[in-house]
Amino acid sequence: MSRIEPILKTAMLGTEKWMPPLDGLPHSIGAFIEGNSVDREDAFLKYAGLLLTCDEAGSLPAEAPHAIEPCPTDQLPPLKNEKAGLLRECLATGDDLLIGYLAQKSRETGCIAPGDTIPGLLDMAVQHKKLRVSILAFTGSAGKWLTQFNTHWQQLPFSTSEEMDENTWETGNETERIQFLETLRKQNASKAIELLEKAFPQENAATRLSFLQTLHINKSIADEPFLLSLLSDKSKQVKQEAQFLLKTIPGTRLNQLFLDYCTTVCSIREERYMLLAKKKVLHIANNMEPSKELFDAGINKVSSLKGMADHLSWFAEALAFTPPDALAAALGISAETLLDLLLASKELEPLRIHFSFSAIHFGHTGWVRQLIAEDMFINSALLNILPYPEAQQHLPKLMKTEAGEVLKMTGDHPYVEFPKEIARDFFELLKEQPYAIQKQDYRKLALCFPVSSLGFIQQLLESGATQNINPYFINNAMEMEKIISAKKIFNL
Amino acid sequence: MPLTKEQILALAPDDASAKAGSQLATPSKWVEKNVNEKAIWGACQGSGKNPYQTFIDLSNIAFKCNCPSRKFPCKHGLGLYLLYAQSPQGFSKTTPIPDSLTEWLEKRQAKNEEKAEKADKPIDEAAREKRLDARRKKVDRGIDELQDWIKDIIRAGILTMPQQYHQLIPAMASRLVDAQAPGLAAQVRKLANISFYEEGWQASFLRRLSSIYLLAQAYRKKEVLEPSQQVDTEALIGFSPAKEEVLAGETVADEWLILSKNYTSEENLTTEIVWFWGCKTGRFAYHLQFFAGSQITELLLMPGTVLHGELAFYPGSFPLRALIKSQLQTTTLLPPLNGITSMEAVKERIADVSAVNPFLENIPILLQKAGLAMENNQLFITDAQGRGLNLLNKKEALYRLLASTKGNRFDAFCLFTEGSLQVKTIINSQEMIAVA
Repeated sequence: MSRIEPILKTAMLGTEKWMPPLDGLPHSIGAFIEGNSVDREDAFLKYAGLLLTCDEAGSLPAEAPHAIEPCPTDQLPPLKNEKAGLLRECLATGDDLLIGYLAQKSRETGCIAPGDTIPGLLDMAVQHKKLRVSILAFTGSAGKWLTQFNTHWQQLPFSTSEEMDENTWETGNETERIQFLETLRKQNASKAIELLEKAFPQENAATRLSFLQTLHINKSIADEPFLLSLLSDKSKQVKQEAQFLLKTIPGTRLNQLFLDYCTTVCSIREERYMLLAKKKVLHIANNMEPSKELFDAGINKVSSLKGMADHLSWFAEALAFTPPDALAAALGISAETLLDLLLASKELEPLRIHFSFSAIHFGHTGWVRQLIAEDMFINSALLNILPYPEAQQHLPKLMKTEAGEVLKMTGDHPYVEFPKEIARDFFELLKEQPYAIQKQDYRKLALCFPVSSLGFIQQLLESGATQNINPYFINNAMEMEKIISAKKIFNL
Repeated sequence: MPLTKEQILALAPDDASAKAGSQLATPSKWVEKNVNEKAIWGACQGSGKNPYQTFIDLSNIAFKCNCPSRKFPCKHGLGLYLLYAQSPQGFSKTTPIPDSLTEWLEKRQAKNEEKAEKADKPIDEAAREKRLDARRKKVDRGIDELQDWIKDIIRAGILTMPQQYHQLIPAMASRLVDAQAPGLAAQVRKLANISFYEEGWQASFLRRLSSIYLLAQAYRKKEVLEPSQQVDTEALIGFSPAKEEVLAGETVADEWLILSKNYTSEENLTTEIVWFWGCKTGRFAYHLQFFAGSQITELLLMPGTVLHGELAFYPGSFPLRALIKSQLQTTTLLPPLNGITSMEAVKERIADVSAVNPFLENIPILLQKAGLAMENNQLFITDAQGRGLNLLNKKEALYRLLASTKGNRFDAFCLFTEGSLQVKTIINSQEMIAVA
């Protein structure tokens, strides 16, 4: 028993119940205390106070347990000076938007976060799933090393997709497994199918659906057997997703049915035009009903549009799942001509949305460009088919009608800057319609503004003409200016 | 000394104000911005019709703003100062100073002079003695009550303390404040800081409780103590010498490296504690500043800078608390350290200091080539021989320590408290990183 234990026992029970022998100190001190105390409590407190002080001051330092294995050295340099200061400021104010930007830009320029900022960054990675990949890379090897000391950080998916192996697939969490599948689909699509075939019987419906959605990446005819097997899945959502994939993969049996139907009902005829000239027109046969299988695959038996003939509705709905190039080839014309004919058809006018579906489902950039040029449809699904720099040109236009869609698109490419002129268009548009987006969206949009746009923003803010402009817009423009200024510091 | 962005942000009362202040540090927010050798002033367009008028007194940093915010300094004050720090060229130097600003500066000046006058007034020794006697009587009665209170606790046992401490301790501390023994009251209040729901609280509680009892006993029998120990005891009870006396006493001129700066808040009172290390003498010192509510610190001391000047130490057997008597200049070049490299030496130092003043709560240590070890989720700070002491830092500070050292050996400024070490600052050749 140590010298301390008896006094702790007395302290717990009380001196009324038990008094320890005062023999833990040299005899003369013990005797002095006993001889100079007015009562038991007085003696005990003096004895305990002295003993604990001596024990604390006099004990030798203990043999420490195993030293912590140091963190592997990072090859990349940490951020310094103003950039490090900016990062600390963002962490102190919890500015996740700018931290995401700093993390991404540092990753691109080959820098890592200074050591003292890493715990804050890991906390942020726990809270913000979207920022995880860039933040975790930004923390360098110290980030991963630190997770051993904090259970909350251990859930963070540190392995990058490139490093992931099948072990991740076996042991990772759902996010990591989806990330792994997405990467695998890009590199070796059939290997992903093999893994899914094995894993599906053990997974729940929600996970099966999440996994299945990764097959949109690099989808091909080779996926058909697996997708067919899912048509008897217990989950309705999984079945629908599998069927949708089968409909949108050129060459599958189901897709072929749609193509065959369109090819059968659709023909090109010549019509007299202004007495002498002739022009090609599209003719849709009205005597051919789709097969039961096509109705089962989603074609409505009766037109959903009032006054629209059923045969036209069937054709348009089937067209949505027919590859434009394949139908054009079957009709002996180019895809461009086919769309021209479709657009020229008066009777199909109310069903034009299905043309855009076909362009979207089969990623037909030619049709997308044509549809946008016709000024008929402009939406994020169509723009997503185009390379992003090309799509950016159309964003201010889309902003007028579908601000949410624009924000979604810019959100998918949060750090890709607009050309200055596009940024100016956005700025002017928002000046006219300041309430089209919310405060946090102004901040997000500011990340896409190039540093060169600071000029026209500051010009407006400092012009003295701000009193005539909506204060909500002015406040948000100031916020945008702050973010772009931070970008400027970081891009130095 | 012009303030840096970080230093200005350190003046913010909270993170939200720092953020809001940063957002206002943009020229477009200010319809007017001016500076002269005495002050910075500007007008910020807020949501109201008229812009807010913001003043900053540069001679003795202070803020004034006519916005309705209760925070101090408000975001406008911080924003204006930050803007000045980042682009002083954007401030007009020729604008005549407005009347309201002149009035405010004059008032402040008058107040300072009033203070100085008050300090210069001759002290009525007889009245002072009378007041002191009356206070000593009150303190004696308070100590009687405290001793009875401690004995009652020990007689009944501390087993139920986790259920009772939140009532018992503040009540006793308040009675000691009434008895004009603020030092003792603070010691009693610290009993409530023990984690009663963690293993080992009993030893910590008994250690502190018996120490308070011994202190009370020492005060009662101070006539048998050495003069320096008498001063120690009186200081711990709450009898502090007047600033003027301290400034007239022992002073040490050195290049004082500012090791750490921390704040503690109790009710409406914030205490700033800044630790120094004398590069030539190797002496440690700490400086306290108190401010209530909306006040800000009188002196701006930044860790990592070296203050060339004289410190006046409060008397005692192991003097640590000091006032800044003179400040010649401040530099930023970190000096070479001369610290302790083994845990045995740390313990020897603790034993030496405790032998002189057993009531000292925080013993400063400059530790070099320290390492980290871990067992059962407890972190230890170690020396090269593998001997170690518990680390007392809170979790967040431990993560900062781990992240900054990455498990490698490091130099640090630590405080020895209750048998453990608390790392305050990591010191490397280029910078100092605040840990706790």
